[in-house]
Parts: sequence; C-alpha cells; structure tokens
Amino acid sequence: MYRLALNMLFGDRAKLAMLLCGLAFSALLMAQQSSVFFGIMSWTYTPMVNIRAQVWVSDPMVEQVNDAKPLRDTDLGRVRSVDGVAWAAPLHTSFVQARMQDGNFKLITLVGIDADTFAGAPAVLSQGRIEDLRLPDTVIVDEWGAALMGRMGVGPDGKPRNTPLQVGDTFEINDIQARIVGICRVKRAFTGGPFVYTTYDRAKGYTLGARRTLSFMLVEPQKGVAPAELCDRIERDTGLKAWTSDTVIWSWGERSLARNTFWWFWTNTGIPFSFGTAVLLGLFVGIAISGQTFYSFVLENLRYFAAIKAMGAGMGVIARMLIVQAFTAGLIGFGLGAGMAQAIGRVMIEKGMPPFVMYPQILWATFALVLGISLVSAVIGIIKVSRVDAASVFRG
Amino acid sequence: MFKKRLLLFALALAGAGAALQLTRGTATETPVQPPPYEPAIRDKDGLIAAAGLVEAVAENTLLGSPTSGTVAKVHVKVWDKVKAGDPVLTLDDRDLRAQHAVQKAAVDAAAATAERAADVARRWTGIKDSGAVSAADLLSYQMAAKEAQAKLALAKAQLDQTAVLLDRLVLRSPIDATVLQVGVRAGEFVAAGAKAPVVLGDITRLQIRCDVDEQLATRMREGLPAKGYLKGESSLAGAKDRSIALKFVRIEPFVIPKTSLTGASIERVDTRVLQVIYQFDRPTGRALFVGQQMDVYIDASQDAPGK
Amino acid sequence: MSRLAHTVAVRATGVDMFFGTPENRVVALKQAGFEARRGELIMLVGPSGCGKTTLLSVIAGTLTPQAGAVEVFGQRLDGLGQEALTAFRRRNLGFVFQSFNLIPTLTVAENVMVPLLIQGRPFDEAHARALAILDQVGLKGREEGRPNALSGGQQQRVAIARALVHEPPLLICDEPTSALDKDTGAQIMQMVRDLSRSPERCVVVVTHDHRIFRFADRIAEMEDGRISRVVDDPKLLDTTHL
Repeated sequence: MYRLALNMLFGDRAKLAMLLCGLAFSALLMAQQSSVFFGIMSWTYTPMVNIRAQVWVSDPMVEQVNDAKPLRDTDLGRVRSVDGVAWAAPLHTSFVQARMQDGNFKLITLVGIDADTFAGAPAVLSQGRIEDLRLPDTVIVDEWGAALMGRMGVGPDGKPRNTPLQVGDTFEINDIQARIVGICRVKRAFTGGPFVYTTYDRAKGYTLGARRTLSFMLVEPQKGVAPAELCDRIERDTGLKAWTSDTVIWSWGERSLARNTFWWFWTNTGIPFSFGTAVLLGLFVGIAISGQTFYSFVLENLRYFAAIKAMGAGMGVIARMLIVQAFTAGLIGFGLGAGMAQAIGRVMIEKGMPPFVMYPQILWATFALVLGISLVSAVIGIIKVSRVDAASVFRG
Repeated sequence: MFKKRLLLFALALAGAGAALQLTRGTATETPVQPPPYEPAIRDKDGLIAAAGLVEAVAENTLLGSPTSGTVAKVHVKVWDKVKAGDPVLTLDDRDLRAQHAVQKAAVDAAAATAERAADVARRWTGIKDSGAVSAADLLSYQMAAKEAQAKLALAKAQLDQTAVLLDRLVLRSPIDATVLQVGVRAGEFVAAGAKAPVVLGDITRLQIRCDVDEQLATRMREGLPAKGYLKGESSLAGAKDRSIALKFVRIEPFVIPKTSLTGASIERVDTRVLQVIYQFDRPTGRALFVGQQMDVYIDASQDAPGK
Repeated sequence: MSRLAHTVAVRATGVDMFFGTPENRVVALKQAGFEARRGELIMLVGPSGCGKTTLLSVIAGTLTPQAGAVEVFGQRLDGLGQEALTAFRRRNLGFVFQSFNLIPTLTVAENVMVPLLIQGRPFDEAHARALAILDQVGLKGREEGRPNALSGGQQQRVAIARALVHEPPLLICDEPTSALDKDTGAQIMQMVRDLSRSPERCVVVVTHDHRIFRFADRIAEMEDGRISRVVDDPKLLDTTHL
C-alpha cells in the first residue's frame, strides 16, 4: 500500500513539482538565512579565532572582545604570579587609521603580540616569516587587508584593477612607517578593519596617544589545570576578568569570551531581529506553500481515499499512506533545499562575502522543521480523510 | 518513470550529503597552538613574577673630571678592562708643563744662590777668631745662608705642586672595572663637574633590579630565591633550562612610582613598584648585556633560607 | 465458516434510516426488508430518492442503520464497530462505482491491485493477479497505462477487475452503466455476469437503467424507502417511470 501511496504522490508531476518547490524553498530559506546569520555573528568574535590562547585576561569591565579596556603593564606580573599559570603574554588590540601610500585612510585592527615568543601569532602565513617581525617597523597584514588596502591601477586590458599589497610594500600608522614582511590568512572581523600584526612594543609606538597599551593577556594554564579553573584563580588573586577561548558555539562555557561577545551583539544590535524575521518568514512561506500544496493534493485524492476506505482500508492504513507521502515529499524537499543552500554557501565561502557558517545544528533544525511542515500537512490530510464518509462513494 | 524518481531521490540525497559535508568544518575549533617560540614555563606554585633590568654590581662609576680642560688623550675603549690606577683620560697639560720648566729653573737658581750664601757663611765662620770679622757681620752672613736655603725649599715645593697638578690631569680608574661608555674624544673640552665622560662598571658580576607590583609586595620577603629568563633569548627555546639562578641582595626600602612611562604630559602615575635587587654570575657562553630586560620569578613558596 | 450452510447471502429486516435533524428529518429507509441469495445477480431498481443507494450502503457496511437487522453471510453488521466493519468490507466486498473511482495517478494494474494490497498481500503477488484478471477483462497490454487514457467502457472494465481481483463473495455495483452508452453498458453487464458467476457469490446491482434489467436473476423494486416487490422477470416491471 505504501508503494502505491508513493506512486500516487509521484504520479502527478505538476503537483509534485509544486510541492517539492515549496518544501525545498522553505528549507533553502531557513538553512541559508540561518547560516548567513551565524556567519555574521561568528565575525563578532573573530579575534578569539585569529588569536588563539587557552585563557584571555582582561579588565573587569570588559564585556566583549572588540571592546578592550587597557590594563597596566605590571598586571602582567600579577597574572604571572597566579598559581597554575604556565606563561602569560601581553597582547595589544586597537582600531587605528592606517594611511596608504596613495593618501587614502583605512581602519585597521592593530594587533601587538609578544616579540619574544610570538604568542598569539597568526597560524597560517601565506607569505613571509614571523621572525621578520623583529625587524624595525615591520607588520604582517591579512590577505583580505592586503587586497582592501591595495592600489587601484589600470590592468593590461585597460580596466581598473586592484593590486593587493605585497611583502615589501609600506604604509603609515600615525605617521610611523609600517613595512609589510608577511601576509597571513585569518578570519575576517565584524568590527574594525583587516588584522595588522606587529610586536607588542612596536604597537606602543604606533598608538602614540594611548597611555596604556596592554589590552589583553594571553595565558596558558599549567598541565593538569583546566582553563575554567585557572580563570577562577586569576579572578580571585588579581581582581581582573579571565575568560576561556572556546569558539564552538554549542560547547561554549559560561566563561567563554566568544559566547559573551556573541550575546552582547545579540542583545545590543538589531542583527538577530532582522535575520530572525527572515528565518521565520522562510518558515511561514514554507509552511504556507507546502501545506497548501499538500492539502490540495489530499483534496484532489479525497474521493479515491474514500473509495479505498470503502474497499476496507482502515484509517490507520490511510493515515500511514498520507504520512509516507508527506514525509517522502518532505525528505526530498529538504534534500533539494539543503543542496541548494550548500551550493549557495560554497559560492559565498569562496567569495568570502557574506559570511556563511552552516552548523550541523542548522541542518538538523531545518530537517526537523521541514518534517514538521510535512507532519502538519499530513495531519490536516488525515483529519480531512477521516471526516469523509465511506458511503459518499456511492453518490455519483 | 521509476528511473526519474530514483534520480530525484539521488539528487535530494546528494544535496543533503553535500550540505552535511559542508557542516563538518564548522564543528571544529581552531586548535590552540603553542607559540612559535616557547615561553618561559612556570613550573611551580607560589611564584612572584616581576620585570627586571640588568645592571652592574655596586652600580656604575660615572668617572668625572676634577678640572676643566681639553682632552689630550683617551687611553681606553669601550669593553677595555682597567685595573685600579690605570689611566683613562689625559687632559691638556702644556701650560702646567711650561710652568713646571720655569719653576725647575727657579729651583736651580735658588740652589745656586743657597750654595753661594752657605759657602760665604762657612768661610767667615772659619776665620771668626781672627777678628777679621765682627760678630754682627758673621750673624748676617749666616742668616743670608739660611734665607737662601728657605727660598730653595720654596722653589722645590712650587715645583712639586705643579707636578701634582700635572698628575691630576691624568684621570685614573679608582677600581678594577670594564669601560662601559666613553663619551669624549681627544680635543674635546670637559668642564669640571659636568656629565661624566666615561662610565666604568664591574660587569663580571651583574645584578638585576626587579619591579614587583605593589599589590604583590606583601608576599615579598628577604632572601627568597629567584630565577630569571632573559628577554630575546627565544633562540634558546626548547633548551631544557634557560633560566639564570639569582641570588638575593636586598629589597629597596622605598616603594617608588614605576619609571618606564611614556612621558606624555597628561601622564599620571598610578602604579608603584617595590624594587628588589638580585645578583647573578655572568653565564658563560651567553651574550648578556647591561640594560637588558629579564622576566624574573621569585620563589615565595617556602620560607627564606637562613632568615 | 457457516457461510456455506446458508443460501441466503444478505438479509435485511426492518431497516430504518433517516438523515438530518429530528425536526427536519429526511427518511431514506422505512422498515425496509431485503434478501439476496448466493449465486444470484439481484438488481435494486426504483426512482431517484427511493433509497436504493442508502440500502446498498447499509448492505455494504458503510452506513449503520438507526434500526433493524442486517446480516451478511450470517454475520450481523448492525452493532459492529467501525474497525470490524472495515475488516468485513475488506474480506467480503467488491465494489463497482458509478464514477469508476479509478486513481488517476496510478497505473491500471496498480488500481486493480488496491484491494489485495489493503488485505496485506505482497506487492508482487498482487501484481501477478492483477495482470491475470486484466487479461480476463480484455485489457492485456494496457496494464501500465493510466486509467485516464482509456475509454469509459475500458475504465469500467478496470473497475470490475478491481472489484473481483480479491474474489469477494459479495459484489456491489452502484449504477455501473449510467456513465456508459447502451452497447458498452450491455458489454459491461455481460462481463459482470460472466466473471462473477459463482455459486458462492452474490451480486447486488443498483441501477435505474432498464436496458440492463435482462441481466438480472431477480429484480427488487423500491419505493419510498422500502422494497415494494420482487420479480423474477423484468417484463413484469412497470418501467415507465424509470
């Protein structure tokens, strides 16, 4: 009977196409919009991803990673004096204007790392060596920044062409020369501009006006000390705020700076609202289209279901037939929608814009919602069929 | 028809599979990698961390000039080891030398005068009894001889004085030391009491001045052992132990404002530090310079030995 | 079971059936009594609104009468629950509808398989039996086509194949020829007679098409919610009002 149910579903190609379009479209909208949303939100805690350390220490008033409140240099000694700390390194982050050679200004995220150990250095350098950062007036910029700060010129075909910054190119930060000795590959950020790495001491020079330059401290716990436990100790002993650096959103601990940054943006900006409405709209459109289509499918087949009922099929069998039909349509619709979403996603990831992060959870939630839509449609159909009198088949 | 349906299923499955595959990367956290160069690892509890600056033991001798004058000769270069008494600088001494020659001639003249007066006195004394001379004249001859003797002594003393002054134009090292800085060249003028032209220091034994945050000062006690890690020694990363053992010298009794400030006019001092002095032997085979920074870990986990 | 012992296949006595609210009541059956035997083809005839479709529904177990007893092959249908009625229909009944009720999105063979599949038979067995009976109704070669591609007569032949594929002891035909022309209707009735002829099977045909009365063994005439008379020969009927 279920095979017949499927044959009934697949028999009407126009209706099937409509049904699958509705389901696939809603799956696409939900998956794609949520992924872009989480992609944009993942940009908010980009520094946590680009600058890796087990524990971050900040001023007690800091709420999120883009809002550094400077510490005193001697705080480094205080953190290093906390039991359980294996090492602690200074970190400077700030948003400053960089002046390009053509006179243009660009906002950059200046990152100063410890010149001795390079703790917090970018993991992937596509050009150059990190050691060259010890040379005078040197910086490492990220690939996106190199392109963003590149020179506009005319290509061989006569069209305007952007030449990305190369190793050896220079620009200025606060009238101090910055010579590029490396290009790194890091994640883009929501606030500020491209990441420009230099040494901690040189960052002091680049930010002339700033009185304190210690934004964060990167801390490594000793073997056997859990990061969260070390955070407790640091907070107790120094009165500073300590954070863990986990960035996988479903395993965020209470102390995760990324998590706090995420929720800070959640509560303080309109991004979640605008994207939430888009996702909800996708859901409603999906429910409306596919529910409507499936309902009309049931209506059209109502007399046949009544005949099947008269021929001795119980409501259980008919209900299961409808569920099989609805869920098959749901599964295929989900698969097609997910396929389209991931295709769009791959293009977006390739271009880097807009950010696209499809968590498995997004996929599962979409799956559950599409099946939910199917279930609702099936239930409506079942109710409709169960109300039909088997005797109605005898009336012409 | 059946094939088409299969195609639809396959398409859906492929779509879901590709989407699932795309999600796989998102589940992984960027791993925390160790820094490119291994930092100094704290391996025990109860440590006080401080920032230290390397300086010479007994601090540095800023050699000054007692007189103003032009530098005639610089006897040393930076890094020269000098013994106590070795000449360091010589100032221009031509005027004193000229005076010295005049005074030497004056001594000779006075000696000749004294010799003649003594001879006259002796001769008249020998014929005293003959009565060829009055007692009064004899006394006068004897007095003249004495006077000439005194004038000779004066001339000699003046010569000696000039010799001492000449010697003073040669600046000598008061201690066994290494020349750390030479700020003058021959021909330059140095004023008495002005900026020291030469810095001497004993750098066979170095000491380190540690800034301990005032909030950690309560944990500091006398005689605590400590270890230091030199900044910029990341080339030694991975070496088993690159720490330098430090020996306690003293705690400066005065908590002072932290000195390494940027100097901006709006600057207010809000950090005070306790300074603690440690001493250490210059490690062999490792470059180490006065003025270098060091990360210092003071071991406050146990009671200070012997105190 | 005791089915063989009875020559009576269907017996309905004193059946009352009315629709609507108590104030605005439409009486469909009023103390109706009806009897059909095994091995016969009995026709229910009468003017529109006389209650023949309602009586058919009661016999088929798709309507439960307000009063009276209905017995099919010795089993009382009144008082059975919905589930038991459904199971009864599944086992004992074959249907031919006026409007064919063939599922347009299924193939001819799949339509015929439906009763077997409802009984829970394996797909392959059902398919084989469907092909066999489609051969009998002369539709060999059209099995994988869609019903809509067939003519009205061919569609009704598919319906007959579907009604008989599971060999039900009671075949119920509701106006089987009203959508067909004279010759086709005669062919269909001939086919119903030929295929369903069995000493065990009872065929009840509701119709007002007097051109097919000749295929009946007996004819029961209905009037105002009850059987007015039963005749053996259609010529005895007054067909002027039909």
